[in-house]
Amino acid sequence: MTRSLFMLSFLSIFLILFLLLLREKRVVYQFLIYLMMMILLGVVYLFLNAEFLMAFQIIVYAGAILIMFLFFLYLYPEESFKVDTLSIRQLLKVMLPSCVFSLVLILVLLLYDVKPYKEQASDFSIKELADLLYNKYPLAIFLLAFILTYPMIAIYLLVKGSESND
Amino acid sequence: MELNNLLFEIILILIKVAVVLGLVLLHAAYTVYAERKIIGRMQARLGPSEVGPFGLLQPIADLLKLLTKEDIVPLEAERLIFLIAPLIVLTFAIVNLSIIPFYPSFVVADVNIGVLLILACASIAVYGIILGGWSSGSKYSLLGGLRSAAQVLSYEIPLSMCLAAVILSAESFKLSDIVNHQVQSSFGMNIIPQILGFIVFLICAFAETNRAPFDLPEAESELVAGYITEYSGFRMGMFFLAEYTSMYVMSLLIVHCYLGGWTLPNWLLTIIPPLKYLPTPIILLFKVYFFIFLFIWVRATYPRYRFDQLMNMCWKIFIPISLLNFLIVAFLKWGGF
Repeated sequence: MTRSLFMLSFLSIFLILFLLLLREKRVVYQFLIYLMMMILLGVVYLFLNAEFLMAFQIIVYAGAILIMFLFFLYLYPEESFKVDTLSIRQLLKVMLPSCVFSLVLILVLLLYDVKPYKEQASDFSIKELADLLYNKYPLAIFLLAFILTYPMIAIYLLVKGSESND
Repeated sequence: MELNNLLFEIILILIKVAVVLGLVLLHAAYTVYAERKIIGRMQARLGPSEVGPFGLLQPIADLLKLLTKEDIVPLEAERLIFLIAPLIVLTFAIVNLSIIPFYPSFVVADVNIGVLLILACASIAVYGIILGGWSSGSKYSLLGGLRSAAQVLSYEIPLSMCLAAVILSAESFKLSDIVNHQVQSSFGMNIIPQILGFIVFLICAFAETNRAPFDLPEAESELVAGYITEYSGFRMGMFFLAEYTSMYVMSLLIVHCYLGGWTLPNWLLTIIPPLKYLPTPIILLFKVYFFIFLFIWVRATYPRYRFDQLMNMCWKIFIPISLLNFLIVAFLKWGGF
């Protein structure tokens, strides 16, 4: 239960940062909020006992890739990034996947007691692995499924959009 | 009972943190004095000699001056980021110290991924420099920040490759395990089988700490003082303190990864038996002081590189050499050495 509470608090910080990111108008500040989200993701990995993943999340994503991104932001004049404030409809479109994600995650957290990862024997079968993932660690499977589905839907919508433009 | 244990653990960690912080920050302050004195001698000058006997109180006078100076924030600056940037650099420089063991049983947090955490802290600390440069609202600062980001990012690759070779030979990310592995190996020190890695790591350490001859982010002949140009008072002091703390972190890392940390190789003890009686902290200190002296010596000897030379050297020379070093270590490991 304590772990679920911690996960919920991480999730709420993510949501707050996400809202701040949408509200912020200056590009560099938006970038900083995104950086904080990346570091927080590292903390979540650490919380799930994935220390190695946490180190790589910070070295590769927060450290290397985002610095390149910041480099790009510095070399362009700020005016070229100016966008109009999002309308309510646009904001809803952006928020919808996150809201669905948050709702399902809260449901999963309430239904299952999230347990810390324990090292398993290396010689167990695929069937056992499937049983472990689907029955004992549904959260991991849910996260993976969401992470894989979200870009697929986005790509589908983008292709649709470009087709209708043609 | 459990609560008492927890309290005891917390108090023990706090004491360790206080000891490490006190030791390293005092060392950092007196390294500035040593640097001025040594470079002074190398250039046939006296160096600081006015404050206290032999100028020994100079670091305290400098500290007082920095603390009492006005903390100016330029009108063009992004105030919040400008104020936070030096804190980011100093915090992540100090966090590194918590992972490094100073003695077999004296380490604040002997974590499983110690080496990776040091790399992670180094990559986050760069943000302090580039954000400080950008938020100052000055062209010199911005260019200094951009140079620093490019330099540190590029040199992190060969540095990580060299560390990967060390990790491969020790089969652990823990610094204490890396030291213990060297004691048990036939060479006694990683520097012997990994001489290429050691040289590349040493040069990368100079670049990672923005020290001469790679101090291009603060090149005074081109950029006034680079990302520090608009800073004054104790915030400028924080940048300096972070630089000197990083020097100690890098020296400790080199000593632990390549020179056997607080130990001496068995073949050396056979040649000079009295060395057996040297206390382990003295061995570690002696090795670290040597590298600190090297940082100062190189600053006094070599001229600054051009930025294109710096980048060419990293991508065309150091990265291939570090890969070669990794291959050599892999073959040695395969051969059972």
